[in-house]
Amino acid sequence: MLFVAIAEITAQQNLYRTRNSKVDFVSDAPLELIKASSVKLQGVIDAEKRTFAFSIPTDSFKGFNSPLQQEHFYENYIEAKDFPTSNFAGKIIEQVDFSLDGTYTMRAKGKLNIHGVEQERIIKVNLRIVKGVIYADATFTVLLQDHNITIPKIVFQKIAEEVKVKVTIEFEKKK
Amino acid sequence: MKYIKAGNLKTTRSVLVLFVLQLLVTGISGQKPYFRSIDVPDEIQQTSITCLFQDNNNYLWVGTGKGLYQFDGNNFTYYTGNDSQAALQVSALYMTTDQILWVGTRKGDIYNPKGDSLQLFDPEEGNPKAAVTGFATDKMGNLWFSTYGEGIYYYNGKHIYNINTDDGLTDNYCYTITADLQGRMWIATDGGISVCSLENGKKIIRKITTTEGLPDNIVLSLSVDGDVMWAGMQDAGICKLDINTLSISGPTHPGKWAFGPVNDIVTGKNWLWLSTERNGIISFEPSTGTINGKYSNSENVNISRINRMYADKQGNYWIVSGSQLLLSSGNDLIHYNETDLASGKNIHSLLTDVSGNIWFSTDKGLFVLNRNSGKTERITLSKKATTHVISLYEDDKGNIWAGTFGSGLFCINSDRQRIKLFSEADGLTNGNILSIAGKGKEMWLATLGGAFKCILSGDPHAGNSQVSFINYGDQYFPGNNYIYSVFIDSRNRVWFGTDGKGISMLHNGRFTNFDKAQGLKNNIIYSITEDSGGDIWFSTSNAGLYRYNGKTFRNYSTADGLSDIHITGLLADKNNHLLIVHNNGADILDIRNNTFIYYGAGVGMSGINPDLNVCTLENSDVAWLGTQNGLIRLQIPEDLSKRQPQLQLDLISVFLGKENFIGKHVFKYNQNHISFHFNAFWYIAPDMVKYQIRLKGYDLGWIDTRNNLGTYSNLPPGEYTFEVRSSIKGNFSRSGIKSYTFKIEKPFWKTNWFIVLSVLSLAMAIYLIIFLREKALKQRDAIAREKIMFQFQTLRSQVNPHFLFNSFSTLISIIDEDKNVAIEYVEKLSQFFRDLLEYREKDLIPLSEEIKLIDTYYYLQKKRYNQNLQLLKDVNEKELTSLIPPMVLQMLVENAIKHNIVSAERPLTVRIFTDEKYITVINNFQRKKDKEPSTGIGITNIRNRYALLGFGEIIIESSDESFIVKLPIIYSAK
Repeated sequence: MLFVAIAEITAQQNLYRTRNSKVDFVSDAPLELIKASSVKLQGVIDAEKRTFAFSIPTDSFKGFNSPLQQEHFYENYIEAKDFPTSNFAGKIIEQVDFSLDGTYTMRAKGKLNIHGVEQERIIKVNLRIVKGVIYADATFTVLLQDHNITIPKIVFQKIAEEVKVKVTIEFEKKK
Repeated sequence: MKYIKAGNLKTTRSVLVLFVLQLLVTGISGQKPYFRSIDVPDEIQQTSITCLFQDNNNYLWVGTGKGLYQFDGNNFTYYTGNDSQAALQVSALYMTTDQILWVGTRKGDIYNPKGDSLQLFDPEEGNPKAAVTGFATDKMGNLWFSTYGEGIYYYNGKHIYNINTDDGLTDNYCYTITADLQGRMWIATDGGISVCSLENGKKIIRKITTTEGLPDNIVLSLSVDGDVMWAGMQDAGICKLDINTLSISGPTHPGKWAFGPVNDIVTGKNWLWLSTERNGIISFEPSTGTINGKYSNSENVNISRINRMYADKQGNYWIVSGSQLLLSSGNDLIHYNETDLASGKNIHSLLTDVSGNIWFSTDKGLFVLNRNSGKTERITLSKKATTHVISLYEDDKGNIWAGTFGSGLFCINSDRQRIKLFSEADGLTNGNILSIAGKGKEMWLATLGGAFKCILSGDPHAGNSQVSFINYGDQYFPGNNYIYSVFIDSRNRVWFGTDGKGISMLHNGRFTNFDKAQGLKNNIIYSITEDSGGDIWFSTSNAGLYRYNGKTFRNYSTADGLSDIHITGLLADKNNHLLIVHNNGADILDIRNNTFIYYGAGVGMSGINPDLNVCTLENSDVAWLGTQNGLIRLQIPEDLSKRQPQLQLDLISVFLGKENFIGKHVFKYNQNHISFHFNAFWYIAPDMVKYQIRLKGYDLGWIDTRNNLGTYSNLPPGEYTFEVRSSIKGNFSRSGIKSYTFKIEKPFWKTNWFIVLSVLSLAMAIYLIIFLREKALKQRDAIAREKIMFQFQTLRSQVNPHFLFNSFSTLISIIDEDKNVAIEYVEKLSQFFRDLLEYREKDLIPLSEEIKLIDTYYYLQKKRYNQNLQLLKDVNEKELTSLIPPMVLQMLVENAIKHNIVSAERPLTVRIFTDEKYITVINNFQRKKDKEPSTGIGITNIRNRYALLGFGEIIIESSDESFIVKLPIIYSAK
């Protein structure tokens, strides 16, 4: 569905594409801190329609504390084989003129799909627009329960119920 | 706060229609509610009030264009954001059940009060960027809020979610949000009404728009009233919706709406108030579908433009017009003044007829107020200007009987076409008729010449013979036959209120009189009525109210809660309420629980000075009162308790600090400056509220105050109960008390445990002294005993046969060799024994003397062992003055000789030397095979002596090569 959305969007003018991206997540549980990051987030914004779509391969996260942690993450929690991508697509709530340089905050309302479970979310994004390049960053939390990510009881202390996600993206206008 | 999208076209059209309709409305605007203007601070006067909310603690929160205020009836307290210089433009207010106040602003940011400022609500998702226009909560506890431009949001305590047109909302521009009884959210938008709910986490949105029959898609206001939702629209007035079916009952008012946008709606009992932009308040009666009032200008206020209306929990209606804040009782209390009625203003008699029309008389004659048309009609009884109607009655045929002051009795037939006068010629010997009562064919008149019984045998207009009058005069009311009132009760007993003879009852032809002899305090009886339970109530000229239950009379005076004992009228409704009219307003009494409420100054009813018995019931719970200044229509409320002052103790501070100590019941001895802040919320007339406070355990009695702060300083430690009660008329005895029990602790040095502990420690100390002394004595005993034992042992050892034998055999051998040496030997031997005798009594001797003793002893033994025994001494000069128990070193040396082999092959060397701490005696260890029997003295004895004297432990180190004894050096005797 997401790809359809992307395809639809790419047919339009006034599109911004990710140039660089970084996604970090932190699960700060009492017993263990799990963090990892990925640079594989890709997406587009249609400035005219205020719509957007993002996707990230779930197995692209690196930088775990140990190979075992990474294995657990991929196989037990995110189940990367069954759910190879996580997506966020929707519409920006406020009007932002991307052609004007400046700093803005805007809220992206959309469907966040992680672990095959879709949840509607609003994500607050800080924007800095410099000469047609958009520097965006956002921080939000993901409740594991919301996405049916179940954790064996014994490991529960190791994984926070809430995972903090930080996203930084640079967009440039598609030529 | 208004966001009207109306174009010019709409406005023009409205004005045209308005012009036509205005004529219609003027005809029916006979009534005026009372508006009391609240004094607001200058800062509010410079801006406008945007929203109101009464919280669970009865405070009224007032949102303005420049910040938020909390109002308690008397004072406004200002709140603003703590992070911004500019005052907040408050646009919506709400309190959730967890007592958190939500403050929405025009910029979209949401705040919560914290301390005395507002803190930004800062969710992960960010705040809206469009004005927040309303809040509501659903049954799951989600907080919903509507915005003007971004649709609506809901907050589940964790995350915020949005619903807008993409989800199916009728429009993103939302004017208000309200919850219905099922917990669904109704949202008024520019595109119609959306009804939203969450079912299994899914957004369910139903639309009510022009497609569904909504008269106008721009919906500005919503008000829920049971199963009905009222919607106020931009152009089409109001519309009634069923919340169960979401169906439209259609526009409920006749014709085209002409009053412009309906900004707000409040609902009362069978009335709605609609606030408009230019036409003030429109009053609407849903049961008849009529507009029955239009209030834009009152005596003191101009309220043509209404921003907001708000109904609080005490039955007050708050009206906001610009920066004006007004308080009203809504249509529950309507005044009709002279100009409204086109009659005189001083009302002398009052009656509701069977059709609901109001008959009343003034100095200018008799009038009927038609309740449907709102018009007043004058009834001409006679050409005489002096005909004053002072009593009215409607018989069961619909004839209206009007009793006059000196001009007889008139009968007006039901179509008001025929009027007939009855006077002295007809048997009515007194033409001053103060009161009329009747049942069926029987009618009773109270006059200044006794009572008259009238029998209506036919149509009174058919001929005078159809009505007969029987006078009950002097034989029944001897001495004074002025009768003020007559009343027939449900058991057909006829009651007469007399001028000075108490109250009389006629039952089955028998007269019974009750007066001071039966305990009445006053014999002048003005008014009589009967409650739905059959009890008779009557009022006296100056002794308050009586209730007669068939057996006893109970008096009600100001002490019982009555606000005035000079009662001029009584009415009992069907809901156990009694209306008590007096010069300064009216009281309503709930006869089930003796609860009183007072209508007076705050609702424009003070100084009404009514004539006697000028009141009537329109129906079971609506009363009319005639006053010196027109008529008053009063809706008698069902629940009186919530309309009484709501007394609350809401703040406890120590040393007037900011912290609220409510909930804390134990204070430290130095927290003894305590203030109690209380308030009896009674917005109707807050300045009438008086308080009495007392601190049980400190104050002797109640202290009167108008201040709502009670401060006690320098409270001594102890237990106290603070009590406060409030009253609006100074009759405190029946008012509820709010109390707070607390304790001030004693300082720790006065606490029982401290005293107990001190006594205990003292006892311990004494015990310890005794114990130590005892121990010292015992120790002294032990030392003495040990010393005696030592002396004995020493003597025995030194006089033991071996020593003597050895000494003598040594002596014998010396005598042969050298006589002089032998003499010396004997001298030494005797000196040794002399020293023994000398030292045995002493605890300590100088080390130098002990060394001398040792030298003597060594000399004696040396003669025996020659070179086989060596004694090496290395004692510092300094240590020679130190002390030592006598014969300790001698004994150690003796032991060494006794237990070890002393021979040429294996000579014994004993070394004595000192260091700072110890005198050390060391000998090489070469144990004899056949041990000499131990004398039992030795080491143990030395150790005991050192221990008992308290000079420390002696140290013994024994190895294969050597045997070492270390004796602590004693520098001074203790």
